[in-house]
Amino acid sequence: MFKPKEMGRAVIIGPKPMMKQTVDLLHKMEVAHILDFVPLEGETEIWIGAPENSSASLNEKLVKMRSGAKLIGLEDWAAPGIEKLSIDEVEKNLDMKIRTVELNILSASEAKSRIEEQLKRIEERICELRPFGGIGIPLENCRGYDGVSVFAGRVSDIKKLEQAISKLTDEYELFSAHGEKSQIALFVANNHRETAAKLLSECGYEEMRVPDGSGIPSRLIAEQESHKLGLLEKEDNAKKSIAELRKRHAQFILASEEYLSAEVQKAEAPVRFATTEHSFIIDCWIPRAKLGEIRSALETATDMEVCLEEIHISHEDEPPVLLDNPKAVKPFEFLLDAYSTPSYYEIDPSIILSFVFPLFFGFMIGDVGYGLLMIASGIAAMRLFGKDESMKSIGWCLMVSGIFASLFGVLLFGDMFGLTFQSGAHSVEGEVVYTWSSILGMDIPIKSLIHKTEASGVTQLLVISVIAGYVHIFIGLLFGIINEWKHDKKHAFGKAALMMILTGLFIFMMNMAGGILARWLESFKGSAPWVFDKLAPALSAGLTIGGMAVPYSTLALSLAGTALLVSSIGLIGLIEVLEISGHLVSYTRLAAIGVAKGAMAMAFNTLGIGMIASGNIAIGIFGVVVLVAMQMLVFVLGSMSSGIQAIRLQYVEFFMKFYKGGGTKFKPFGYERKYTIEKSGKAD
Amino acid sequence: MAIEAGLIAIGAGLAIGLTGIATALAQKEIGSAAAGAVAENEKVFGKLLIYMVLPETIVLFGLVIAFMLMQKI
Repeated sequence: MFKPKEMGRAVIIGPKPMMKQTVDLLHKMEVAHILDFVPLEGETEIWIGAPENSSASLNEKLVKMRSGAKLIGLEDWAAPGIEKLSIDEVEKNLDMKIRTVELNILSASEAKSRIEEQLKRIEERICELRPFGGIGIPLENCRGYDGVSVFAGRVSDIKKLEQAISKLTDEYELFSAHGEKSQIALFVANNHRETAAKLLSECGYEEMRVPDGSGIPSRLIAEQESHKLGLLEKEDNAKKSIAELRKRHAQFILASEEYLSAEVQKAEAPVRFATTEHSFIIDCWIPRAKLGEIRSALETATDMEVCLEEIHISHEDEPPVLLDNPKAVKPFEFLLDAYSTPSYYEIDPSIILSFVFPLFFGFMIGDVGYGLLMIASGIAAMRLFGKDESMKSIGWCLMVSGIFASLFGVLLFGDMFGLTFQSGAHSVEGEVVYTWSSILGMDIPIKSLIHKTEASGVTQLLVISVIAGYVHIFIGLLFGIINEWKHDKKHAFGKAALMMILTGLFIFMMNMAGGILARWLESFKGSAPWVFDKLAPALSAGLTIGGMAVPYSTLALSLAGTALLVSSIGLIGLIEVLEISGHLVSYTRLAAIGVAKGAMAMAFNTLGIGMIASGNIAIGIFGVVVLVAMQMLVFVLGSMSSGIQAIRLQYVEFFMKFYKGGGTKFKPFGYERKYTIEKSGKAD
Repeated sequence: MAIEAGLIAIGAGLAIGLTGIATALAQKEIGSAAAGAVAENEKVFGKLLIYMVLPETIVLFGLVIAFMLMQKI
């Protein structure tokens, strides 16, 4: 659980004719993490293996199938309940289907793209003609004169232009259409050309090219529009026929793509092996527990011709990491991977992470309403994105955190959507405080042990945060000692020293919060008298330095810890003392985020409920809208910041005490089959 | 007492306000660098998230101090 699965290094050796069987078997069993063979320089006896002859043709088929899949849009098509195909069926029909894909799909998609191209051209033509639509002269009349100059384009001030031109000469003709800017076609005798150009530029003239072709623009546009309608219909039909093709061929294309990918993987596997003239050698990591099983499977399949030898692992070897966690913890591994895969030799903290992350997350949310929303959205994410592993993991984490949030909401904070069930002990006289009990007019017997928005509640939350931080960092340091013990005892002692200093600091802080602790533990007074009569006084006895009570136990632990730290890792260790104090304070974010979110929700609630209770229907409806929108805002912002802060506490405060990471993930040789069923029986 | 309480409240406000600004300044730099780095290589997201939230500790110190001050009123 705290360690990845134990790996064994295996070398599989056999004669070349047996290579295919071996590859098939390993591919099917999906347990070998193959190491690529790197030939030594100057080596002439052993070289990299050659891919199977079939690999080129398989690749070609794969490319055809993939392009087919792409053309009919299978890539981003959510396949609704596609049944798996047997590999026999895929193999039998593959060549025929590839021809079908080439003939039907290619031609259908070509037809579609032809139509799309035509449509594009028509759009362009309409765009070009549109400005001239209002001018009722045929296009061919706008060009090709010897004695007349034509200006076509837009002007901003047509009246000014008309006046100016008519003053200049009578030898002109002006056609115009009014729009935002006036479209004009101006015909002037050549001898007035330059003056006219000057006048035009004063009227904000922008030249436009007269479109090619002949005919009256408005008629041409109408023609193009009707042509476009016909094409749109055709495009629709082409799309329908592609959808039809997708429906008909999706299953086979997906299955064959998967089959071919797996086959290509197998055919190209030899390039990762070492080969001599007559034999092959596969160097791989296999989970120790599976070694025997693979050995006997290989020997049976190849009639004892291929053998598997386990070789000794040295400490320089870095085996790939296959985390070994219970099913409920697995989804949390992605949080670990986002940081770094653990190295093979260190502790895998997934279990702690899978408990503490949702605990912190839930504590910061601490509200049964938001908690239930989180559970619902977690389940929704798992249902809707069932195929996507990472979304499934996120959904699971959200759901577990939601359970913690609801528990905290009911048991500790007694609130739902930022409203407590009962009013607080310290409510101010005359201030309107809404609670679920007062709104629903009934007494809901869920008490708030801690009121987030009251000063005494905040103090209590801060104390809880520090206690949580102490336990969390302590576990981190403990893991650190275990990890370091084998490599470097000095560092292990350094961690132990930090543990002492941390404990000293913790006692100091708890001493400051002594009153709160005493109140919390009051009910245990009878059952554990030694805690109150002996332990507590012994720990809190001390001096007063600068107005602060410093217990002797803190002094002793800090001094002893510092001495051990300096003697084990040197003066540089003193920096870690500062760091660890910072880290302990850093956990107060648990309280800070919780309070901030609670206060925000309370403010919006007071606003919204006040509006609803105002008696005015319009204001009341507006109040409901405000309330719902603001609640969603608090929920989304709150869960985002709480989630990030919860994971940060793992990554920074917890992991930095022990975690190195940098491991390689175990990637078994094989293919995850979604659309095909592997042949049963022997692998050959 | 009224003036004292007021001064303490101002102190608490300054503690949280100034540390908030400090955090924001630090996060501004880190955030823009991190956005660029993630655009280039998504794998570093986890590491950068840590760098991104590191400065938040500063404002937490401010919060704790502010809170301790407020309790003196």
